Amino acid sequence: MITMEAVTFGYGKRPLFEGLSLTFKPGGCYGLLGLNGAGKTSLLKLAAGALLPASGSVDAFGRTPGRREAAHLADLCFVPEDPAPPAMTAAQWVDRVAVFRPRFDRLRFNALMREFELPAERKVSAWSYGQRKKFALAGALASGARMLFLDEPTNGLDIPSKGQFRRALSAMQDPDRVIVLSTHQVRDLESLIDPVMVIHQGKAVFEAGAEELAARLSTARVPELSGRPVVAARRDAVGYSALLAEPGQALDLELVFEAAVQAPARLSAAMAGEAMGELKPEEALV
Amino acid sequence: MITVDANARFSPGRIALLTRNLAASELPMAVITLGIVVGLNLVTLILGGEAPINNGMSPGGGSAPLWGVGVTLVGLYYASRAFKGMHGRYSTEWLLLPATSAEKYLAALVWLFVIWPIGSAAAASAASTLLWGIQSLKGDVAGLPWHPFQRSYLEALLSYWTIAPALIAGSAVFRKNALVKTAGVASAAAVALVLVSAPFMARLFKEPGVAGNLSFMNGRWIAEGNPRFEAAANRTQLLTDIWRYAILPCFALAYAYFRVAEKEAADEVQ
Repeated sequence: MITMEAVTFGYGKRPLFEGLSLTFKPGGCYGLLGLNGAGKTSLLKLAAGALLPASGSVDAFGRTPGRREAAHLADLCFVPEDPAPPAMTAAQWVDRVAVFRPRFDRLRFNALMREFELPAERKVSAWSYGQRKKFALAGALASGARMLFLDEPTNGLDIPSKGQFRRALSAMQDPDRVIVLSTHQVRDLESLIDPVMVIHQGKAVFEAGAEELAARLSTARVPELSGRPVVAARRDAVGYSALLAEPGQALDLELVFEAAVQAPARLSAAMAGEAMGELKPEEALV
Repeated sequence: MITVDANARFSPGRIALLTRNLAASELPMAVITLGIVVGLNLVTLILGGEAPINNGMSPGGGSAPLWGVGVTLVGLYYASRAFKGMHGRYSTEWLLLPATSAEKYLAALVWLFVIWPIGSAAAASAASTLLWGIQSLKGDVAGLPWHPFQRSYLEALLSYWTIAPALIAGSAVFRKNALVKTAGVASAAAVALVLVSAPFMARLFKEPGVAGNLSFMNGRWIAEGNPRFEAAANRTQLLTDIWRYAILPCFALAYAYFRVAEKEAADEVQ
């Protein structure tokens, strides 16, 4: 379990988080959503120990990440949006870098290298951005780490690779493991995300599991807003894409995210099963 | 094969792996440089009858000081790159590599103060001996090939010990061009130190005048009468030697350690 209590953090004089408290529980594959600049990457780095909070505490499975103990670092894997391109082959990387992780699974890594069709004989620094991204993800998925922090993992992946990545990540899910995905590409990952967490204006403003969301919310195209329990809606050419406070066949996490940011009171009421009042056309999402 | 215990708070195995990685990433440049130096000297040896890099050999024990200067300068260049990995856009990967900050720091010291001085001296000796051997076959040789057990090299090592820590500290501070920036900052600091300390030094050593006599390193600038630079008295020299060979290097190394230990990932908001 990773716990943040009253964390304050910022760059220079600009505060990013003030009194942020949240928990990432084992077994979850958290989808961390937020606007540009909301601090998703910074949050992952705070949880990993690459950044240090100005005040408050961070605890990851009983350790303080900021101390950067080797045991903690071997138990986590952070894949940045733009991974470093090591000037070595994948085999050399395993011998020089992965060797610091006693639980690293070489067989699984090699299998992922083949599945992602990566050119093992060439130096990683000579690969394309997408290939480097797949290489970093393969390293993370084979790391054996209990904490996986993946920043925009599907950026740069081609369509087949996204499917391969989803399958590989799904196989990684484990009751003892915490996976946190920071992403803008919600639709790439919505089959994996459970729970979803929204960061906005320095706070975790919304968190709900997939089961809870499915029991409370759905999305549908509606011609008009009246007569339906609409939490939030986005106007389009022929009507509205609406987030409804009722269970249904489909749920668009992008709409849930937009509702969490632009209509938090209505979303909270819907999740609590309370009355919201009818949504007026001028209250549609922008 | 080196193995690591992930739960160990301090692991010599991890330091060995980190040192090996540093050597593996840095040595290609030194090997290529050495190859070019040896190749050029072989050409001049074949065409002109001598290897310039071996010049200065004396019958009394050998010298060829260029070898010692070369390995020292390359070592200083490496010192200025000791912590380059912890800066910039890929700093997060460096910070989160599963080894403690102390291990990453000690690995850099082992590489710069043990592996490099010994390995480079051995390689330079071998290269000098090769050129010397070829020159001997041509019957045109004086003295011995370069070897590290001589005064000039030991003095160069002493200078290395005093300068490398400053460059290591610089590499922990500056993201780019640490060598040039550290040299600039160190020069400015030395001048400022002289200007600030001059009145106190003059009073301490009971020399007449305040701004007239400036104590600097192992000597003093005498402004009165015939302006000149004079070797310092023993007392001054002792203090400056302690300052130069003990306090400053240790301070620089300690400063570098705390910079490494407290380093955060590069600023980035997304």
